[in-house]
Amino acid sequence: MRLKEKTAIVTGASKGIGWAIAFGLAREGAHVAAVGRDPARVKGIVKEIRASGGKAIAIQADITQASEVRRMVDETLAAFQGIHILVNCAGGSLATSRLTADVRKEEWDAVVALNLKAPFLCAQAVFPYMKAQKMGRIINISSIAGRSSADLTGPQYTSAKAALQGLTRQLAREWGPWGITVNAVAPGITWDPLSKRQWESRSQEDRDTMLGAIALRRLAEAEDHAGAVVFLASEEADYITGCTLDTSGGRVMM
Amino acid sequence: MGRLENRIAVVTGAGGELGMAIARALAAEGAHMALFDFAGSKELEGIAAEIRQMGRKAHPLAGDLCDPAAVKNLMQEVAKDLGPPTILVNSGPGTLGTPSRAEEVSEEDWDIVIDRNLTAAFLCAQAALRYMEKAGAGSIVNISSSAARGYSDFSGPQYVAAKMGLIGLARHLAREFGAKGIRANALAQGFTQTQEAEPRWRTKTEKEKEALLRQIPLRRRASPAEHAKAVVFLASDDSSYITGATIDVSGGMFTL
Repeated sequence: MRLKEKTAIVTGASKGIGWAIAFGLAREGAHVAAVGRDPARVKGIVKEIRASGGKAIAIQADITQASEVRRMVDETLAAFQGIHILVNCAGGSLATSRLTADVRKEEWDAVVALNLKAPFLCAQAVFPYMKAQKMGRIINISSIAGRSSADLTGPQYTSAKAALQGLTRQLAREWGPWGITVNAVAPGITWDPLSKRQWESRSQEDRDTMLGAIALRRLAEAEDHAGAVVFLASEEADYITGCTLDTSGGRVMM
Repeated sequence: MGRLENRIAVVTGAGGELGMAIARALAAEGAHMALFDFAGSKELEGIAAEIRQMGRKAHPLAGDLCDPAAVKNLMQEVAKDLGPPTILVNSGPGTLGTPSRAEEVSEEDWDIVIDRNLTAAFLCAQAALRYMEKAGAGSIVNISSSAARGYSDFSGPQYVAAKMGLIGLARHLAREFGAKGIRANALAQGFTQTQEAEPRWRTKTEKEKEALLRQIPLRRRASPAEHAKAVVFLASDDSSYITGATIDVSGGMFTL
């Protein structure tokens, strides 16, 4: 096991990619604090981790609020020893407008708060513990939208996800001397109930065009991204920091 | 159970420090190793013996990796003796001591660096892909350099061009062979602490060393083993949806 006894906080752990990441980290021996907004759903992943012999706790929090982030850290420290890994996975476009002309300020603010400010607050909150132990792994889940652009989401989402990559590089530079690495993963389109509905509403021609742009000719499964996160969280990635790793099946090559 | 149990891996430049570290790491995850290098590499037998001691098969093969027919024969021998290769790591010989200033680079300097780093990688990939296509699986990893992601004051245009070319090669192969379940990626290595680089490092003053390390967020150089771990990741199914990518193992010095 590559992450034995390490404490990992995973935000957005209650579904999809976050769920797969939380499970993947636990399978490698990490103790997982699974964070989500919906208490029932976040208990689901904790149950699954425990059923497979792993250790996990559920934390319900709105991580766009600094006080809630503080409580998240306190609850993690009350249950486990130290904080070694933070995966900022909570995110999404929150079903906000897609076209620039339609985007209201409230929509802009909400998407930026969730996708950019929350990762910043979480990173800031875990930093003292990582600094003290001279070891830390922060992994920000960005998006292909932030690496390139997207049709299904608006400028607020692309901007926030791109900014998250900038935050990644800046924190990597500032915190590198303390043995803390900060990296991002940029997933391509991934199967989940929403993407499945969108996929089904497309014409065959549309689907062929989309798949044709992906070198591997398939959409991602959540587990495809979890493997990359486990790698970045492990000591195998000791010398990797400031990077954005594209798990896009070759849709983006940088 | 290793993550590469019984897979057949070809590593070029296997007689060099980085190639050896990569071969060890892949074998530690269960792969059987074909160890390629140019003729005259003295270290090939040593690393082969080391890998056999780990309980894995090892086949050292020296030859002209810039000659298509020779490369094809070597790959055939791998397939015959170990099985069809599904992992190929192109770890070229680097600058080969050629000048770092453009005006001093002779045509011979240019040719040997491009041939041995870039052309050899293409030929090895071309030969290995025949087997990967049949297997319906494969992972190619080209060892590139931070010099190709940013800049380098210590190596010339021939080296930067070759290393940049390896990234382009990985992207093309990713695109052409993605539908067949074959992935191709590059690893851009940053400053690395090797015996080979040590004499030049020692010529620097303490102040120069410090200035250099200050440019690296992690404040230290990499070890060959650290690059090898990233190669294992790219060779394994943990990177199942990563192709055409370049991973910067640079301590944060250059990242994209």
